[in-house]
Formats: sequence, C-alpha cells, structure tokens
Amino acid sequence: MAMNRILIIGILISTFCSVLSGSNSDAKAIVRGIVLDTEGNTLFGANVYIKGRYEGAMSDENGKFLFETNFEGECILVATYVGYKVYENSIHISKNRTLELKVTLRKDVVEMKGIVVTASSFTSGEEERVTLTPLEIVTTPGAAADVCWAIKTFPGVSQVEEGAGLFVRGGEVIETKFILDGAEISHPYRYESPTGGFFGTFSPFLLKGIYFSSGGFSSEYGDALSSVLAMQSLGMPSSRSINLGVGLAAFSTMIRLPIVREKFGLSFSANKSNTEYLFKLNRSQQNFTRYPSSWDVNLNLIYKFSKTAQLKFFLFGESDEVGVEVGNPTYRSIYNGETSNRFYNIQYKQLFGEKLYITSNICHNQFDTQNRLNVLDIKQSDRSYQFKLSGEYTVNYAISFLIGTQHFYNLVNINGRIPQDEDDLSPDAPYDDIETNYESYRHALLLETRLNIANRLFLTEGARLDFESISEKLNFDPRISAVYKISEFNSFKFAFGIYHQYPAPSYYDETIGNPQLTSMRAYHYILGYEFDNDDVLFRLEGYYKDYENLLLEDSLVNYTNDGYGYGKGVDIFLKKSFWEINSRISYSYLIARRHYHEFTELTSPDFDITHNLTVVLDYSPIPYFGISTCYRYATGKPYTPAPGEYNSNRVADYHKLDIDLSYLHSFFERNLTVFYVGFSNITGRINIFDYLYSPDWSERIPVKSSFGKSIYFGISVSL
Amino acid sequence: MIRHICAITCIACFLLLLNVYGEEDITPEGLIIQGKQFIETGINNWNEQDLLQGRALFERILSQDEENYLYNYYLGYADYRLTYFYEEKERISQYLEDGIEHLTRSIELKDDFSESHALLGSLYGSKISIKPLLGMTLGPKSGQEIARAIELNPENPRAYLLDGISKLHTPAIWGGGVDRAIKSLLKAISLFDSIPAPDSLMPDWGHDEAYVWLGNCHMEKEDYKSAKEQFEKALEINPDNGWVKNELLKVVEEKLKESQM
Repeated sequence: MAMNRILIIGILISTFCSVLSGSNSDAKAIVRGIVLDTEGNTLFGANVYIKGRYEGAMSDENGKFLFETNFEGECILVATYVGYKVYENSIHISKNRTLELKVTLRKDVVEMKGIVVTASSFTSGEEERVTLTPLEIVTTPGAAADVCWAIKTFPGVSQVEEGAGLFVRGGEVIETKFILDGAEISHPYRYESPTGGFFGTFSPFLLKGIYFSSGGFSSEYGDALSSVLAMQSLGMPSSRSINLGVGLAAFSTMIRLPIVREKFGLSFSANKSNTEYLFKLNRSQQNFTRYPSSWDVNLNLIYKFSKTAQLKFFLFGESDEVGVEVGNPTYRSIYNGETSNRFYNIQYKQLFGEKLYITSNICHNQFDTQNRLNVLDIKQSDRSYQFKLSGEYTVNYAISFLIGTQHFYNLVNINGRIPQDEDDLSPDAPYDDIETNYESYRHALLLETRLNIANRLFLTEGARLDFESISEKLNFDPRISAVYKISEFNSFKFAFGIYHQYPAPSYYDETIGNPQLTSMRAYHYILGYEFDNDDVLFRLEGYYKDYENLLLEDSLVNYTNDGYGYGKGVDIFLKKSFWEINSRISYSYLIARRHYHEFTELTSPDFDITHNLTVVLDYSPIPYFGISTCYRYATGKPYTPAPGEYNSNRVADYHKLDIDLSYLHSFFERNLTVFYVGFSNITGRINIFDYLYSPDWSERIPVKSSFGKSIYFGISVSL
Repeated sequence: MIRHICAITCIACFLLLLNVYGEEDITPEGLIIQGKQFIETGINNWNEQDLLQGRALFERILSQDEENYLYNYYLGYADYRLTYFYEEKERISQYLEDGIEHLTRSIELKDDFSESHALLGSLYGSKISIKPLLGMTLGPKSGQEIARAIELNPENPRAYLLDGISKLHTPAIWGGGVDRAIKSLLKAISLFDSIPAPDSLMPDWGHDEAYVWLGNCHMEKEDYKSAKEQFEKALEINPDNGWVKNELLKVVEEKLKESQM
C-alpha cells in the first residue's frame, strides 16, 4: 500500500516535471548552426556560446551545434577553437524562435616575434623557426666557438682567408654592420687586421639570439653596403647557474643569477685566453714574441620594472695583444699589436597597451689600439656615443609601423708615424709623422611598414634618411622586401633596396684623403625560393648588387668617388636530418668585379671567390657522445703576380676538414660536464691565401694557414 | 523492485529539473565541478568529446571573469589533458601554447598558486618533446616552475607527480632519469595518501596517476612485478582508469609471461 503511494507520488512528480519542462521549453529560444573553417570543412569541438552567459554548446562531429537559452534580445555569439581566431558576432534572440547560424573560423596567424620576415636572413636563438640553434653555433667544427666563424658556414659568406672577417656576396669586410642589443659596434673583431680580425669580439655564450642578413635588409639598419649581423645579449636568467671551462688556450667562467625572480637578474662572465700551448703543441711555423692572448669581462644586468618594461645594462671590456714575426722576402721583423675595447650599453624596452613597443639605447664604445711594425708605429683611439629611439605600433596582426631615430657621434684620434708608401714597411722605409683627429656626427630617421596580407604575402617596405657631418651628405634609402607563401611550406622571396655607407673618417683627411668625398652606394636585387617544414630547410637565392661611388685612388686628390663594381651570384642552403645525422650544406656561386682603390680597370677583388662550399654533419652514435665534422671548399683567392697585373692569378683552391668529438656526463645532480676535442685540418693541407713579394717583385713568399693539422681540447663544467 | 523504479523516477525528475533551470541558476562553482567530471571521464574513457566538453565549460566560465586565477588554471589544465590526446604536432602545439598562455595568466593573477606553476612547468617540458631544440632554454624553465610549485606548497602532491613524469622523460644527464622520477613519484604518493581531500573546487586529480607513472618507471627498469603492483593500486583508487585497464595491465602481464618463459 505504502509502496503504491510512493509510486503514485513519483508519477505525479514526473508528470509535473514533464509539464513544467514542456512549458518552459516553449519559452526558450533555440540557437543552432554549423561551424566551418575558411575552406568549408566542418570543425568538431568548437565552443559556441553567448558572451557573458553560460549557455552554449560544442559542435559535434558534423560541425553542428544546438543549445537553448532563456535570453532574449541582442547579444554576442562567441565561437572558439584552439588554433583559430575567436569568432564574435552580434545576434538577436527571440523567445520561441530558432536561430540558424553559420560560423566560419579563421586560422590564427603565427606571429613572427622579434624578426622581420625578409629574404637572405638567417637566425639563431630561442625562437622556434631559427636557422641554427645557439648550440649549433657553438659546436660548429673548426669554428672555435666563434660567432663569425659559424656565420661563415652560411651561403653568401666567402672563405677569403682563415679569420673571422665576413665578406658577404662580393662585399668588402667593412661592409658588414655589427649590432648588439640595438647598438652599433664600431670594432667587431679581436686581433684586428685588414681582412677583419681573427675572432669576433663577442663570444656566443654571451648571446641569446642572432640575426644575420646577407642582403636586402630592412631600413632599420643603416651605413652598411652589404650585410648585417644583429646580436641580442642574454636575457633574464631563469635559474642560478655557474659554468667553468678550461681548454688548451682558454679559461672561462660564467655566473647567472636571478636576484629577484623574473624582476632582476645578472649574468657575469670572465674569460682569459693564451694561445702559447696551442701553438707549441701544434708546432706552428710562426714565431711569436708574444703569443696571441686576450681577456674579457662582461656584466649583464636586467631589471624588469613592470610586466612589460625592462632595462638592460650591458658592460663589456676586452683586451688583446700579439707579437709575431712577419715580413717579405727582403726583411723579417716583429709585428706588435695591442687593443682594448670597452662597450657600455643601456637598453630600454617597454610595451604600452599591447600595441606600442618602444625601444631605446644609449651606448658608449671606447676602442684603443697600437700597431708597430718597423716604420709603422701608430696609435688609434676611437670614442663613439650613440642614441637610438624607436617605436613599433601594431595596428592588428596584419599591419604594423616602425618609426625610429638614430644619432651617432664619433671621435677618432690617430697619431704616430706611417710609411710614405703603404706597401713598403721595411725598417728603413721613408715615413711621415701624423697627429690627427676626426670628429663626425651621423643622424638617421627611419620609417617602415610591415604588412601581412591574408597570411600569404608579407611585405616590409620602408625608407631611411641618413646625414653625416663630414661629407654633409643626406642619403635617402628606400627598401622593400616581400615574402609570398604559395603553400604552408613553400614561399618565394623578393627584395630590393638602396644602401649607403660613408667612408671611414681618415679618407676625408686633407693630406691622405679627400674632404670632398661622398658616401658609397649599393643597389640590392634579390629573388629567392624557400621550402621550410620541420624536417627540411631549403633555400635558393639569386642576387645582383650594383655598386656606385666606390673610392678610387687618384693621383691629384688621393681619392675620388668614381669607383664602381658589382657582385652577382646564387646561394643555396640545405638543412636536413637523415639516418640520424643532422646536416647543413651551403653553396655559393659568386662573380664580383670592382674598379676601385688602386685598380685601373674592372677587376676581380680579393674577395671574388667563385665557389664556396661548406658541409657540416652532426652524428650521435651513442647517447651523450657526438661527432661533428665540417668540410670547407673555396676557389683560390685572386692575387697580383706582377706590378699592374691586379689579381690576375689565383692561389690554389682552399680545402679544410675539421672533426670535433664531444662527450657529455653528469657527475651529480644539476651537473653537466662536457669533454671535447677538436681536430682541425685533419688532412694537413697547407692552404695558401696570398703571396708577399719583394719590392722588385723578383722573389715571393706564400702567406699560409697558421697550422697544418692541429688539435684542441677542453672541458666545460656546469654547477 | 517498485522502490527502485520509484527512486529512478525521482532522480530522473530531479535531473530534468536541473536541466530546465540549471543553466540560469547554475553557479561557476557548479560548472567547475561539472568540467572536472567531464575531464575525468574523458581521461578514463580516452574520449575526445568529454575532454573538449570539459574544456568548453571552463572556457565559458572564464569568459565571465577573465581575471580569475582558478578559471585560467582550469582552462590550462584542460589544455594539458588535450595535449596528451592528440598525435599531430600542430594540434599538440596549439593546446600547449593555449595552456601556457592561461597558466601564465593564472600565475600573473596569483603568483603563489602552486598548482599553476607545476602545470606550467609540465607544459614547458611537453614543448621540448615537440621541438627538442628548445630544450636548452625551456628545460631550465620547466624545472624552475616545478621547483617553484614545490617551494610554494611542499605538500602539493601534483607538483611531485608532474616532477616525476618530467624526470622520467628527461635524460639522466639533464637531471632526469628513472631513479629520480621514482623518488618524486613516491613523494607524491605519500602526500596523496596523507593529506586530506581538498575543497571540491580545488584541483584534486592525480592520485591514481601517481601509481600509474610509478608503474611505468618500473616498466622502464624491467621490474614488471612491481609495475603490475602499482597498476593494480591505481585501479583500486580509480577502477575506471582506462589506460591501466585496457592497456598497461595487458602489456605488463605479457611481459611477465615472457620473463617466465
């Protein structure tokens, strides 16, 4: 009986509920529809709901969705799907009505953070689509953990001689601009020489990212005819770390410390190198009175004073020296060189309201050097100050603007004595005493627009105005770069630009130069194709560079701007892994001709290296053990065999094979120890880079590589 | 029998009432619990729809109050679960990026919430598995976030669980390895066993998973007997765990048979 009563109550409640349910359902509106992508495919799992309310539904396997709502009136319908842009649309809901909707979602744009998409650019750093990782930079065999040496494995950079100098696409070494944290570096090499220097000033261990452009770079960079190497120093340390390294020629240490988490951190490094044991062990033919040695210290402080703003202080000091026997068939003398370089940079960055990104730099660079060889005894002291301010305004994912201003002040002091004939450095050669100062200002204004059209066409167009005080010349450089993606992995690239570079201050000297000189100019034309997926990166680029206003020696006024020339060629780059071997191959074909300096007609300059080939292979046969090998080939460098026959012969082709072995081991928690040994030039080939002739051209001696076979080893410990 | 029919009828009515009025009356708290259930069912049954439903609910809750650290956490948590579900790198990357964004936001809103740090560290680790070259930079970040989670709440069992999973997938030379993973997972288990169940709105997942991953560690060490014990313990805690029921137990039993032959 009682049971029956419960049953009756249950049925009554059930009936009541059904009635209630039915009556309320009548008062509701129904929103239903379908979710599609831009290609008309249905999307399963999209979340469709009314903004500000909980009512909504998920699209089913056919992309359809349906939900009821008590809401009546105007509202915003939201649809989301991870990887797609959020859809928002205003709709009107009426009770007892069914609203039918078609929702189309668009793929989200992949933002290219920090780096402008351009032709001819290579990157390294933390971003996902870098060309080389920082580790690959450091471990390039034969690159001595040097940024410039590693950059030389990219196409477009010629193997002119064994040094760090970057000769890019038929351009001289001085035509590459170096930048660190937005500040220009006036002396980017250690052990400076006419072909650059033996190493880059900044170790890759101090760097977070690298952007290298072999041409067609944007208007952000000025006073450079050929290329740009822009480096970013280390960012905020995420955890405490101490690294110690000991090698055959160097001792290094680095400490990274987050003082206040995500707010204030420091990185400190100190390195000392002395190559005495390296040269002795490898039986170098060179005689040193002072083996090349250097030290450097770096302090990098970062203070984030808000979530979107930071200040970075980058302090760097470096000093190097060398004493080595040099000469030609008629004399042997000791060359002595000492250099010190100080670089202080304060960088400020702040993002305002997610749209406006302001960066600014104040930088001071102090460089002192002394070079002595027989009658040559010269001291040079450079002081430079620079200020930069730029703002990038991102309107939306498709449009952004960059506007900036740059100001430079340089004071160069040169004093000592120089030979009257620059090719005669013999002990009894006639010489002049000089004492001179060059002061110059340079001001620049730049404007750039970056467009993303339908995520297919990326356009960077801009221009810059440069003014320099000595030449009093105002330059206008328009530039454009386009990347057209024909599919997800395939794209075509095009770039055109005008580039100016002012001569070094000494060329304006009234005695040895010409105060009437103006800036040199180059036109870049680039066309390329790129295939890039996760497994393969392939690039093919053709280019033509037209040079005007190059410096040409003149018997009356020392120099004029009547020089000209061109560089043209093809660069190929392939990065791919196969059979667990990571490989990268660079090949460059180049034809460069110049009528400049002492040349009497259009001639191959020293850096006209027709073929350049670099093959780098990395393999790890067992865990924690790595083998890397690098083979370099280059056409022999042009040299002058007789007076007036400028660069009419070539030395023998260049070949070099390097192998590095490394082994990683962890002795305790948080420890990583790397043992490494590098075998350089294992075939023992003696490469010749030039010939030095006696004053009467009757005798010559070859300029050879420093080592035959050589070995280097060391250990790096992180604590 | 009749009593049963009656009870079912009443429950049906109650649910129907919830369905009718729930959407207006339901609170974010109620939706969080519902979202957590969807995720749990999705994991147990390895069902994409449930996981996405859970995520959709969390997203709708968040759209009401984007400045809520817990809502951001739960959306990140749903993303974390979905990263394990898919195989296509692009899809995984999309959920990883979304998860990292929401967990970072959660930390910005409440820096001392240990759970967000732990999960963020885990997502950084997953990003390395998609793109190994990011290991140099994200490896330390991953470890740092998990260490921060433990520092903020030394009694957070999920921080140790995620630490253990991360260590299992990290080579010994980079501070990982099976032995270090076991140490962290045992700590997670001891905390799961000893601390009282948290508020129903707070994260409470992972108890059975700690045993599952401990079992996986033993599998790695080819100690199949211990592995089976751990899998069985996981099933005691969560009898619906589909991964253990349908896959791991079968594999370990086959391995045991092979070793006996």
